[in-house]
Amino acid sequence: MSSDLEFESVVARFYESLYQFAFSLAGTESDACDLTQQAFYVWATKGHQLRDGTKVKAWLFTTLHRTFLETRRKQTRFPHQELDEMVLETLEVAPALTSQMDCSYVLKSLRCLDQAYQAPLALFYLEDYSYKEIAEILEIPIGTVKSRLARGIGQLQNILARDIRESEGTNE
Amino acid sequence: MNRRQAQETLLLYRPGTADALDPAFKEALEIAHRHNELARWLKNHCANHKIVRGALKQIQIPAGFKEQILSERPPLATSPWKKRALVSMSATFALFFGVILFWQMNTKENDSAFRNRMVSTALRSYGMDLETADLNKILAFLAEQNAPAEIQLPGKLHGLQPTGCVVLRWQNQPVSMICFRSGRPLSPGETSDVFLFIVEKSFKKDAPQSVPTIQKVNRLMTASWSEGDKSFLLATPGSQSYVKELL
Repeated sequence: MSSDLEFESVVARFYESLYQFAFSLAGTESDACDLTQQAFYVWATKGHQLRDGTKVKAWLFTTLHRTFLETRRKQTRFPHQELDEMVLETLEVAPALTSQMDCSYVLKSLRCLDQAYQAPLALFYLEDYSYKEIAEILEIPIGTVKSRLARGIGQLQNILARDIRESEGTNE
Repeated sequence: MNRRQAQETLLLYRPGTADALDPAFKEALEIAHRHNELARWLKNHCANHKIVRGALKQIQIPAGFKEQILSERPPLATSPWKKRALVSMSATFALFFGVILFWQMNTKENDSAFRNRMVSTALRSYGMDLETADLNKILAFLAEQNAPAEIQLPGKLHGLQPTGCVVLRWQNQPVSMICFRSGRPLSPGETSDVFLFIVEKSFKKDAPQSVPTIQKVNRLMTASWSEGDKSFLLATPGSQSYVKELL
């Protein structure tokens, strides 16, 4: 297979999931396009260095996430965090969301979360990666992935449930 | 594992995935099945997961995005084993051929890729190198930067208010980007809504013809054409007829 065909094949297989991940992080079409294109650009120039062909998708996700962090100049390393009482409180309630909830509504709520939680949550919901794989993609310890997911899920569900209650209150 | 620990574990449980095969999730699921309250919580949790996942999966991919990625593909790097194979061939021929090929791949970019890249620049936040409403100052600034500046503005562009300019790079060559305000309502934070890109025609192997080609790229309508030794690209939100009016 020629390099051109390989590149086209990689783009065809992964551009949709990469774009969705990028959009969930960046929130605008143009930024998501730029992030996705940049990931494929880096793949075209450096992808041959990847030995394990089964890790192309994870490699692209990592590259996209790195680019996102660079563009946001988020260089602060977040410390590993264990589940604390605040998270445990969110376990008390799993509010019933509505199936009418649309994409923009969920994305808006996702972006209300602390930025550290957004990428793990986007991968958690959009892809079926294991927690170890999410940790590798985001280049953080697996314990940090789990604690961010737990906090993020709790925050997200609370935001969504609160918005639903408010909209129901407005409608009444 | 007690009930509390099971709930903590299940907070990260994703129904319908390989999570169900994980021993920790398996154990937690068994505990949930024995506790009515936890079982109800788990049912809600799974329903919520499906709703959020379903909502995120609705993110629409822009039309033609795959083609855009492919059109902006850079020259592909060669893997090490391929390089070794090439070296084992006739060294002189391979080197000569490689240099020619590399040069071609680096210089031959189609007009479509140029359009996509410039539109992408116009759509995202860019910093003006010079902000002024004086077109003469803009052209003088571009000339100082060795960017294309000796131009005649087409048609109605003369009537628009310039807002500034940016010097971009394309294939390592300077591109002048002159920004205008059309007078139509602008989105919050925007100062310009008409963008003219100018590049030396000789830098583009497939420079457009003198008759403008109009095409929508992303959210902008574009027109590209060549005149004299320059190639032009006009980009603006709006219809084909509006772009034609400007030319």
